[in-house]
Amino acid sequence: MGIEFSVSNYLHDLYISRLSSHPLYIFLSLFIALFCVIGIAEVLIYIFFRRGKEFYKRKRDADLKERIITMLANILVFNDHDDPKVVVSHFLPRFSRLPLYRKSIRKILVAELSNNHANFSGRSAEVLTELYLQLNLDKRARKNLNSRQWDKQIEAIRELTEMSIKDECDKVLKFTDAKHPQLRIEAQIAFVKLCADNPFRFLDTVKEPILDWHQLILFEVITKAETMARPRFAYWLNSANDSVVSFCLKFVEYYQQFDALPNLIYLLNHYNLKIRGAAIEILGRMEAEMAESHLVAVYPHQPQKIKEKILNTLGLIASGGCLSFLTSQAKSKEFPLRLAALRAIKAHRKDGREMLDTLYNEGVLQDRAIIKHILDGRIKA
Amino acid sequence: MWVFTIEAIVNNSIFFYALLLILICLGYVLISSIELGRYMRRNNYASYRELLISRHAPCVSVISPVANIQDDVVDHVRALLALQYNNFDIIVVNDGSTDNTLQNLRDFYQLEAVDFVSYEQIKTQPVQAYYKSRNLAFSKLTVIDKARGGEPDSLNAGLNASQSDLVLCIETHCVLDKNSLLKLVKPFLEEKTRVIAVGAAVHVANSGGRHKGHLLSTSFPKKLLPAFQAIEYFKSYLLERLTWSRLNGIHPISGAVGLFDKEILTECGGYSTKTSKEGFELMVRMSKYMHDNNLKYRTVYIPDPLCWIQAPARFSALSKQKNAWARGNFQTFWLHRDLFFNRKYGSLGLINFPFLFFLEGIIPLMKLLGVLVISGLVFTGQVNREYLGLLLAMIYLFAVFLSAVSVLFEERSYRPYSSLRDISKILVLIFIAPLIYHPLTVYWKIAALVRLRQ
Repeated sequence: MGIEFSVSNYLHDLYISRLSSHPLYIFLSLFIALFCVIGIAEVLIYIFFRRGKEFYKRKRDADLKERIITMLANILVFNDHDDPKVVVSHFLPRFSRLPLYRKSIRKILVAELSNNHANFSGRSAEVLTELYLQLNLDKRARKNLNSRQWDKQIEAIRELTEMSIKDECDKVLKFTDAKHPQLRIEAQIAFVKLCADNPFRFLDTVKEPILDWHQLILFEVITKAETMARPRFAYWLNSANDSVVSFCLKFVEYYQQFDALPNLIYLLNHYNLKIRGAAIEILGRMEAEMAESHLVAVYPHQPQKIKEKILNTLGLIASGGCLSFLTSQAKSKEFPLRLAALRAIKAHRKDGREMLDTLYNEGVLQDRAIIKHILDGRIKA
Repeated sequence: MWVFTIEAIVNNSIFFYALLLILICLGYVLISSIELGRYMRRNNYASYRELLISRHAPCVSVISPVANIQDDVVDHVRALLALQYNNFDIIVVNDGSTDNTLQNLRDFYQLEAVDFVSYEQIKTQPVQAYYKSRNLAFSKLTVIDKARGGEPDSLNAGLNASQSDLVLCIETHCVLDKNSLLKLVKPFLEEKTRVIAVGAAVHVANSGGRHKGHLLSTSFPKKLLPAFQAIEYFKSYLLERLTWSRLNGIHPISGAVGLFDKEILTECGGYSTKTSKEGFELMVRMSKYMHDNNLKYRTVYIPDPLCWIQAPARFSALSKQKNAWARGNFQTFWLHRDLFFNRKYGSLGLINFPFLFFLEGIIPLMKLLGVLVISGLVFTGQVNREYLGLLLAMIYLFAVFLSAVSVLFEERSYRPYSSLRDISKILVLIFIAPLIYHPLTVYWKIAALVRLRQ
């Protein structure tokens, strides 16, 4: 107690009585020290307060969640043949009694509705959408679409998409070319899900790049959707937006749209190496024999990475027409080209094997080693 | 009058030096808090499920050098094989082990020698053999047996054998989070500019439960030295690296976990065997290469706790490690001295590199000088002890404040140590660390500098 008393006296003396008599650097040091003490105290209080609050919220939300899940289970098993409006009007009074003016409760209810909506289809999903609308839960999401905060906009877009509210399609379309990448991708996903008749309309207008990450996500969303119109993707292969071209190339391959082959061959001269490379790879995976002569013709003027891709593609096509060209490339001075050419020869099955035997017998020590390498099935091609 | 002048000079010097450091650190706090907030908000909406199943996921080679770890090597590889990603292979490089490391691998994974030909873009110690498994379950695994050349040399041998676009270089003793690849690959796909390297947060897992190479639980280290290191990692990763990532400056990618663009990495000549802190040197060299070739680039750091390591628990081991790291930093500064204030390299040469040199090289020397001068003056009674005490109290309180902020950042992001007991322990230790651990870090840096001179 005595020590505490003297410490507080000393601090009083330091910070109040003698403050004006300190040199400037001590004055500033005292200020910084005070700032640090307050900062440290705030951090400690914040951490423990936050932990406590989280613990309380978790407990409270768990109880509420359980109650809402039970209520939703009742509505879902009610009667599958009734009109959704009739079912909802029967249960609406019970849901209306929930204190939905409280954000946390509204949030839990919307989350549960979305979860259930994602897991059910047909009449049950319609009932959930009807309930969502009749409880006016959509109002906030629609309002948040006009928010200036991108995260609020994303949450609104997600909520409306998960509840299949299709009348906001045009508003969502605007966001498909938003500057913020996360908002853009969310809008693009929402648009392909909501606008089932023309889900790729946004590709006509999008000026911002569809990043590789977004292409990958959109690709999975689109290819997993069961009912979605599949347009002719070659239409966008001459888009001024390179990312649209590379995005559509993936679908040309996935849906094996052979009518796009001439467009793919045209892309062999594309200025963007990434697109050129992708077009070459897809020609191979679609086994486009008609492209072989074009590939061989453009080969000499390409950078090494593209040359490698051309050789790999010739291996995938493996018509036999380019075997002599591949044999000439198997003697290249560049190791990666030699390896790719020998792999392509191997892909020619019987003819290729014979050619490899000949090259093995003619070859120097390193060539033989490479041939052994590519013939070993345990080594990844 | 004479005494007063010395006292004023000393006190003012201490104050302005401390003020400079405080301003730098507050800059770190400000920038990293912005970056952390941005990252957390963006990743709140990220889903990795699509990448996990995607056929368009870029191919990654995980390269892990191993040497004389016969008891752990099987579990280490098992944990790597269990990583969640669609398109990856594992290259384990046996760096001339003299125990049964290779034999254990061969037996457990049913390995047999194959006629593998690698494109030797980077010179390494001779490779004796390549192994693949005859069991299809382990088809992702390639083992390289080579003569002893050290960890960087082994990573280079792995790079030569890799056929992927991206390479993940890791240390033997680290345990990766099973989603590591998904999270590390994302920045390569979502940035408009070319990303050349991605690093992630490393945490200490000395007291975590492990089973067959997997981490079962993470708890804050019980022993004092690893605990201090855990707190130091908070600051290093969440304040410093996040700041430099935001500013697109050089931030050392930890040797424990780093994903690289293989093309740039090999073009730069791979890992250097000339320094004892390869990660930092490599980042400097890769940044220089991009500048020399007028290529735009980004190096990214993500705050996700993806890698867990065993921190040295004994003073001698920690001292050796810190010494090697500090020596590595100085070697890198010397090797790339042409960068200093070189306008050709823009902010990298004019600000970033000299600034790091100031932090790593000059500050420890100034601290040592300060301690010597103050001790002398206190001894001869030429200093106002009260004012000196106040200045030192301010420095101490700011050090605690900085640690508290980094703990707050962890609390608001991923909470690597989530229990209430752990967080309480951390909050007590941040008051002790500046008194015990910080002076030691200065000592290790000075010792490294002295050894370098010798």
